[in-house]
Amino acid sequence: MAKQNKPVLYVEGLSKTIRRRTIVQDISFEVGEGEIFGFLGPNGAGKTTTIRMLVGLIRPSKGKVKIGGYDLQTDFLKAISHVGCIVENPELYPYLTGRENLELFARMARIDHARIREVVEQVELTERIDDPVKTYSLGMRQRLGIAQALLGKPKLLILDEPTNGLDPAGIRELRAFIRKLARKDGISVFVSSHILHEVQLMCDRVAIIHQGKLVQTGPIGELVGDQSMVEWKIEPADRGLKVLQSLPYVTRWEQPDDGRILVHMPAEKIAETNRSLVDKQILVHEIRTHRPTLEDIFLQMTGGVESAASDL
Amino acid sequence: MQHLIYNEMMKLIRKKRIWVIALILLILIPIFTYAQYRTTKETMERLGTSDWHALLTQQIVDAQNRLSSNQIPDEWKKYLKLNIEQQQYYLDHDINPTAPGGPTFIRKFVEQAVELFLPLLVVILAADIVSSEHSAGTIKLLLTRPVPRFKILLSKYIALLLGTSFLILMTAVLGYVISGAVFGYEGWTMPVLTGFSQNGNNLVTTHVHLLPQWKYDLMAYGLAWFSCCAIGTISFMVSVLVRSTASSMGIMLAAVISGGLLSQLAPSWEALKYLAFTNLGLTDYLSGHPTLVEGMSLPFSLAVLIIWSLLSLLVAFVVFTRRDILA
Repeated sequence: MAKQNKPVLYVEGLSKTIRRRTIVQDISFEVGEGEIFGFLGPNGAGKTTTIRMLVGLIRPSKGKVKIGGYDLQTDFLKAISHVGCIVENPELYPYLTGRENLELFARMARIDHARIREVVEQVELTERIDDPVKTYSLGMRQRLGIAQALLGKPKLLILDEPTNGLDPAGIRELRAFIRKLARKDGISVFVSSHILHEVQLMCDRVAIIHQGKLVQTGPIGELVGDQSMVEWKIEPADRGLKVLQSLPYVTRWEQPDDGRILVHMPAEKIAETNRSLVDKQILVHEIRTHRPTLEDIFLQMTGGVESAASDL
Repeated sequence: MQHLIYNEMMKLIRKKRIWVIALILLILIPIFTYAQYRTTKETMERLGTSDWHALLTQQIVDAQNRLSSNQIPDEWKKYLKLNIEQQQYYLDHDINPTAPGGPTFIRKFVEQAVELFLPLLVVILAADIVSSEHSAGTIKLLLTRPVPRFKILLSKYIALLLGTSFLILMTAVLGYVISGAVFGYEGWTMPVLTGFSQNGNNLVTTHVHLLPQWKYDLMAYGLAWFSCCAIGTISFMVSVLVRSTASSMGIMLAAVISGGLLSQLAPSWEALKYLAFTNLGLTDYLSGHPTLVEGMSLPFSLAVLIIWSLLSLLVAFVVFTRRDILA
């Protein structure tokens, strides 16, 4: 999993004020090597402004961004050469072919043709790479955008809302691809989203931003909580419930009328629990985990902030 | 740096904008050629078709008579002599002065086009060179590559100058090829009168001399190139300042057109001569066409255009390298 030795992306006290309006306020976090870091927040929370500050498109009013150890403000060229990014939509030159687009960006950083072929294969665009980009589907543009971002062998990949406009299959594919990049190639990935369950499935850690402030940062498990709800369908129910109650890690349970038993317990203990039930000759028909979604947590948290703000 | 310029040239060419301009020239030049052809035909019909030799001879004799008279001031004498020389050349080389060849056509064309038509074409080329990156969103990719912002802008500016040069070259070549098909391709060595200057309301002819037409054409197109580069530079700044291509083009078109109109409407308004847009007709100084606003000369106009260009570049570079890319 995530190695936290030296941060690839280091952000400290980042703020942006435009015309006396504070858009981003005092944001700090770190992204480690090979880590997938989710940046979550509703539209208008300041995600895009933050990302634009991370890639040097917007000058921060305050604060510091370091990429690969280089300060983005004072050492822009060295810092940015470690970054591949897609900010918002994967916008490329529609009148050029996919290959010409990549060649154009390769020329800007002295990258050779072998590397272009490599990334094209990596994003599986080999067949259509010589077609004009205006004939591409959104998914293909997305892949070409990622190919472009990967050209310079970046340490850090910054993706702004990469799942926007993709169909479920495309999203799944993208998730698998990003995971592979992080696990196999050790690339750190910073990914923003307002659709929480899409990110929940691939991130190691997440930060939640609301009204320009970081509400919370932490490993996904910590935010979700290790206490998840597991639904059991067992027979006979009353004897089964007794067995479940006897387990030390079971803290709370509910028994709706339809014969199911809802148990608050760590998800890792499901196999162990199952064995205990089977050992006592109880038939297990169905086990379902109800992990509270990030969405629930998110709503709870940001809702809290909102009411706190209105109290002031 | 040459990689960046190559990139920008590729965008310029593949965006097809430059070919649209070529197409405009391809349509307009034949129309102008036909217009010239009609005028020539009418003049010839009025003068009698085959007798232009006799007419010229008569004109030369008249001029020589006037030369020998004492009532003519000295500077006029010089002018008359050159006129005679020119007409003699027409006779010797069997050139009908009312039926010009290709080189004469492109000379007249550039003299007409330099104030409005060519600047408009340059505006089409220049107005979207930076703003299109904004409206397409590609600016975000461009500025997040390990290249300093000023280099990106400089490569765009150089590409624009190359594009403008190509535009001027295209105008000359297309004009020559198309009009030559009607009027013939000869006339490069034909003498052309130049060197007029203005002093108050009087035409000063002391520096008048004859130039072979190829030299004159070269100078005229050089000056047109200079005007176009200046307009291109100002459009370039507008393209940096305004994010949408449509508005940057609109602003520049309005400026170029109203600049021309203003100097015609209010020739007594002297401050107008400090505008870039009233100084575009550089070829007027070659042909001796009187300027509308007083106190303008070739060095003055060149200086005004240079100052405007430098200021535009300064603004463009300062804004571009500092601006936050918000949308």
